[in-house]
Amino acid sequence: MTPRQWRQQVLAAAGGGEQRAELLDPVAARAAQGDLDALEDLLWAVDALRLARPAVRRLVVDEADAEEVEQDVLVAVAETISGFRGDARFTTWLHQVARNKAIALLRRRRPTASLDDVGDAARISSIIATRTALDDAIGRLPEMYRVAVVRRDVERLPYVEVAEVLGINVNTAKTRVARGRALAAAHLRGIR
Amino acid sequence: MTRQLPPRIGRYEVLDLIGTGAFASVYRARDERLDAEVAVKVLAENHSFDADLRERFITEGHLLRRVDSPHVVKVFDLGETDAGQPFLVLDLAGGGDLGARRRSMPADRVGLDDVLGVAEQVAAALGALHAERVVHRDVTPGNLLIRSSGPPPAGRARSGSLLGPGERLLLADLGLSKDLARASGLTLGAGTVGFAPPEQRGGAWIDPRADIWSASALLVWLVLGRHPDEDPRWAEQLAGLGWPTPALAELRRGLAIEADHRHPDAESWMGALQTATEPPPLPAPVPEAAAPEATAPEGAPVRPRRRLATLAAALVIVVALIGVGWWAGRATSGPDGPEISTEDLSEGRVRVASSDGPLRVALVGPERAAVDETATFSAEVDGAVRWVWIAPDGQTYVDAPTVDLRPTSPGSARVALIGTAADGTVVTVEHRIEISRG
Repeated sequence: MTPRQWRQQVLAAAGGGEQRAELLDPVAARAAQGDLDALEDLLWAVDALRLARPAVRRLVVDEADAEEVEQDVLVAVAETISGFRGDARFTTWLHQVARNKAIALLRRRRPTASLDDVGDAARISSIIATRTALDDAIGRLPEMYRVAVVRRDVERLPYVEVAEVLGINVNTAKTRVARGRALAAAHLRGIR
Repeated sequence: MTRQLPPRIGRYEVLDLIGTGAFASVYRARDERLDAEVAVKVLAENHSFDADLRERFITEGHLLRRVDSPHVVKVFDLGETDAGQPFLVLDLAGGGDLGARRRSMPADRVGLDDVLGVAEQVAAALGALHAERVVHRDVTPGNLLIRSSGPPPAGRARSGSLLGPGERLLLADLGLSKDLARASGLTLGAGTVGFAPPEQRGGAWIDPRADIWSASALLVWLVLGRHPDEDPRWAEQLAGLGWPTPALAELRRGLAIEADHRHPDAESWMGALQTATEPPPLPAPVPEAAAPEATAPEGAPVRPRRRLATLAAALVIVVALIGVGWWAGRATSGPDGPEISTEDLSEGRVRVASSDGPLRVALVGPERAAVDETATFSAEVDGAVRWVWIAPDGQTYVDAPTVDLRPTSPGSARVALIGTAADGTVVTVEHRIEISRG
């Protein structure tokens, strides 16, 4: 099955959780073994189908906070997928990751929280901006994600302008930046 | 005590504080956009960043959104304050809660109709929750709010005085509820003392029958002002107040220690209570034709089948009779019913007799008794193939020439004797015995 066919099947199974889980699990297992193409597919699925949302929504009310947590979840999936053992469903594993990221956000929102405490997506964004161990990580990103991440995190353009420069709409720009950061996180992890 | 009210919660203008609990406060507030008063329940600031409490609070909103019942509080919105506290915007009941209502009434004014009216609405609420695989786990008088306007309550109107016309109950506070779809039924101990079923006290398997226990305890509390745990003799007390014995049997079933012995769901619980408190249309005709001789195949062992059929028929009779028994007592000598005569005998004993054709049924027993003193009743039955005693606690005794009863609390109690003839004729006699302190 080509990645394209796989994605179509995942979308078609959007209603049935079990069928979708069966499509996701083998791809997650490959990503856990270090297959970056599989990771890219997996991140696509988590993001496009908003798989983390139900778990996030059990703890986070505010819409902007929920989006922030979802981006953190993407980065966390990229960074920790090697810990996915395959003895549970990927969706079960993801639920726990999402819950942890939501709890991390609540911790940051506490009145007593340190201002240095930022989410995973913000952390990766600033790593990209400061170009620490970066060229290789960014250079290995697929073109589509690389240009978006460079505009946003290196050139610090607002999303509206990223979208304008790339000739895409703002939501697509946000999506590409989020997935690009997550993939960069995976590469950075490999480099360290 | 005055307490500083927040001027607004989200877009809602706060009017006053309705209540505070350990984890949340509830305010009466105004929704200016919809020009309506609402209740706003806010998670306490110091708990708003506790993941478990926060999740439980938000989940309550999600669950309420899924449940559709005029007897479950409705949720309109879920929001968050600037301080990060989640809040739920809910139906404003406005009429206080059932616990406060009951306590404000003279105890002897809560009648059978009142209790059935409450049971009907609670059953509707639980049915809707259970259909969504949610167990409430905290059905108490304080969690049943009274809404004073809106459409009339479900079911037929009753003449009770606990709820006024146009008032209906709203089951609220799903803070302890269990979404069975999300987790195993295994859970920690929780609930309110007196209304929590045995399996909720130690932490055990929980399913909708936990709520059946609580709802049954609630009904007992409504009448007696004490829950069954506080008053182990609740059944005798209710019997003394004239509660029909079959209804007591149903309450006892709802309060069974083992969930397996309870009614399987809210609908059957309500149906059973309904049947147990309603007069049966007519005594069920004895199903003589039930013996399947004619249909037995050639050469098949007929005897066991016939015996089984006879047993089944006997069961049908007993069940029918239990219904007839208390009803006959309630409407003593109705215009069409056989007449019941009471005759005073020597030594404070009475003989209560009635007959229909050749079937004559009488019970003989003391007029009064004292607590812890044995009272013996004997049957004088003529022309009957079977007779059944119904003791004040709902126990039945089939074909016993005498029964010994030992009252455990003062008041009045009913003893009934039902005889049935071979042709299906039924005669019921009933005696109300006054019980004094020992």
